[in-house]
Amino acid sequence: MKDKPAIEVEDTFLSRDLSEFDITMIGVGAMIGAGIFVLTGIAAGTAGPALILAFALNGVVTIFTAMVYAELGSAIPESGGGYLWIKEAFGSSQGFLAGWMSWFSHSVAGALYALGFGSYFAPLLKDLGVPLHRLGIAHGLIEKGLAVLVVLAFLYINYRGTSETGLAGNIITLGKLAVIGLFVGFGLWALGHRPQPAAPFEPFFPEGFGAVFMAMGFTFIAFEGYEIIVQAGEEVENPRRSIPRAVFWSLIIVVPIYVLVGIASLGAVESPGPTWQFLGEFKELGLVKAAGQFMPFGTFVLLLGGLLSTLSALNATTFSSTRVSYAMGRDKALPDAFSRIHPTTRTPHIALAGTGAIILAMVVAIPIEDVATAADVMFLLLFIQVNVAVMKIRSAFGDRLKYGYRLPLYPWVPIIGVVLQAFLAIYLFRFSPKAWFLAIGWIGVGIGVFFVYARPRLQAAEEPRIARSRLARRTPPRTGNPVLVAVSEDSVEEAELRIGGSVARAWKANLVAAHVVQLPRQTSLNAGAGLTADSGDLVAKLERFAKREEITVRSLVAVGHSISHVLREVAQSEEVKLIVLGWRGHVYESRIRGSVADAVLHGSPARVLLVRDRGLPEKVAKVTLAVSPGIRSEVTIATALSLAKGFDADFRVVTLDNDQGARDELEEWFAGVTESILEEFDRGRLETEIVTAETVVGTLVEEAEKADLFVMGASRDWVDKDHLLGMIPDKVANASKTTVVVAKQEESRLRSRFRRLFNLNNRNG
Amino acid sequence: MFWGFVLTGVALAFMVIWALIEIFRVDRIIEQVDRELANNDSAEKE
Repeated sequence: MKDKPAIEVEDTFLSRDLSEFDITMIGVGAMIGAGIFVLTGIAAGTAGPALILAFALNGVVTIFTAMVYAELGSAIPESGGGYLWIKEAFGSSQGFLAGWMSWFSHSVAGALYALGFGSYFAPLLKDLGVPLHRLGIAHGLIEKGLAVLVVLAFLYINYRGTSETGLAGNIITLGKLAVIGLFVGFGLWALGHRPQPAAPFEPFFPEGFGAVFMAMGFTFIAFEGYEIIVQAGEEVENPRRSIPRAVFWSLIIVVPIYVLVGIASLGAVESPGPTWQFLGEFKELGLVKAAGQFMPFGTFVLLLGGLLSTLSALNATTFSSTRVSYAMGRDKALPDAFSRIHPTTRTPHIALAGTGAIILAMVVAIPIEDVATAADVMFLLLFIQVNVAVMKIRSAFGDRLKYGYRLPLYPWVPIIGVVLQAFLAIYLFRFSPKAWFLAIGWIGVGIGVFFVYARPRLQAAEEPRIARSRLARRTPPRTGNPVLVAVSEDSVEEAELRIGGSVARAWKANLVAAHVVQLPRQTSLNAGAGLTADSGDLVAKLERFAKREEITVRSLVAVGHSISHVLREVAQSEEVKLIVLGWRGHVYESRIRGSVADAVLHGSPARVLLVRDRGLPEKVAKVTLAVSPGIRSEVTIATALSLAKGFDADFRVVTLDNDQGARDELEEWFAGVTESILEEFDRGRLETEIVTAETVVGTLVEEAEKADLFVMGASRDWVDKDHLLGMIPDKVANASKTTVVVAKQEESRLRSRFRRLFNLNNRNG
Repeated sequence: MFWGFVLTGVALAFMVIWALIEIFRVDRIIEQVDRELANNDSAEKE
């Protein structure tokens, strides 16, 4: 010990918990959102049957920029997306403009989805018999009023912070896909039964070929899901591989669906005139009116699907625009307040308020077509800049960045991307000059803000971030860190830490003390890292503890959205062999107490000690172990032995005879156990006994009362059934006044993967 | 109408096939980049 420091303080550990499937669903969810529900009718009215060609061609235009996003997202997977890369490539002035535009485009997209929600909710309320017309409010204002209400509701939800799991988001996205699938299925069936199925598609270009470009530009917003995918970049597991694959998978899923929706809606509707005019006439409700004709309960199902889609898309865009404005605040491009995290809710509340103000202004002041077009123009201009940025980044940093994906045919892919998107953006002027004026106005205001306010601050704070992100690798895990304990400043003297320290001492190993910071989904992990910058008191307490226990403590701050996931990931990264956890009321955060231990148990990469803390005496003089032949006892015995050695305590080992098995076999087995313990423990301090038990729980509680620390094993059965039945260890721990430790073997990799696939680990925090 | 559908089909197939090709390239690119970075590092050390 003399040549080793008592404490080693490590870098902040950021826990990535989104899988490739999760982020694919995020991308699909963002695209299948309002884009398809709200814009199909309007776009059909613009391009006629050529709407389906517009969707397919948009897929082609999109894949060029998607490759750019895949490349940059895999190499620089940080919160901020397009804004961050443009800043890296061209410096803070260009970066400011990109961030300014990105913030606006995501916010305006949010406004579009809020208006879409209003348009879908008002008829649904009417269908349900709510007498909205009696309020005497003009047509259109009810929809806007509902849009304002939903924006306010989402601002509040985002302010409070949510711990929505990947599972919940995935279910919503799959629900939307199911609604669209039903629509397409019934639509194609109805189309197949028309006497002349080709008739609705004649003529294919009623408004000329130019209208196709207009529809392409107008619906482009429905193809920008990859921007949302990369916004979550720093939370993605294995981002080098997952981000590019998710970007492409989301397009492969979404674009064919759009084309099929176009065919179904144009082909299945019965109307006196051309079907595309029918859809165009009902604008954002065109799809609902179409479904009402050929699908049982079509109006209701599509209205519900539309509501679900617009709500989740509004949530996604609020989330991403808040992250952009937060990142700009952090980089000094916006006032520092934008990078402030609320101390209680841990959400970026000022950035959220700024985003909310833009969304509300757009909702109130601008018609839905112009809102959509303004968002399209902004996204197109942003993507043009990102296409240029990828070339600059490759030429300046290409040999230093750890790419997971590199786009082919370089530099032609980004050049073609720039040309195609510039063409669409310019063409949109014909569709909505107002949207272009809005975009130019916002850019003009941005330039003014930049010169008057942001430039001096940015110059003072300039730093080369790419070099830092490439160099800022975590210290590689060192061997000899087998014990992990979750700590907070208040828990340094508690039983978990003393028990972990005792095992570490017995194993002559280090103890990893992880201070876990849980953040709501709205807050990026880097923001959370900032929250814990000042953890000096905790480190000082841990150092005192380490000196007293004569061990080395490796202290780290671990930031993530799910405490259980963070603990499992730290355990894996540090090659931990044992995790010590508080149980039913002793981790460190009152609102999730009790649940974290359960969630860590499922899928733990290391064995777990659950500690029911009833207080430990200053000197732990006696450790008692209860073992049973029916339970995997090796882990329990080894753990209890380490504790007895670590605490330098007397060791009592008991097993129960409750007349349920042959006494001879029990004695033989117990003699074997005793013999194996004696190989490592002093005979004079060991006491063994087969105790005759009338009731198992009662006898175990009596044994526990006579010890300073009581250890018992957990079978897999207990772990799975504890919520339902309250099995033996649970009952003993609850009834005993002594601190009880329950040992649990690590889970098999296959079983753990099965759980992770279905996201079962994150349910409990 | 016929040519409209043909164009749509070609555009869609182009996009889907290219995206699939890129998905299957990812693992190969990761290996290649790792090799290149390792070579760069060893060259720098020398």
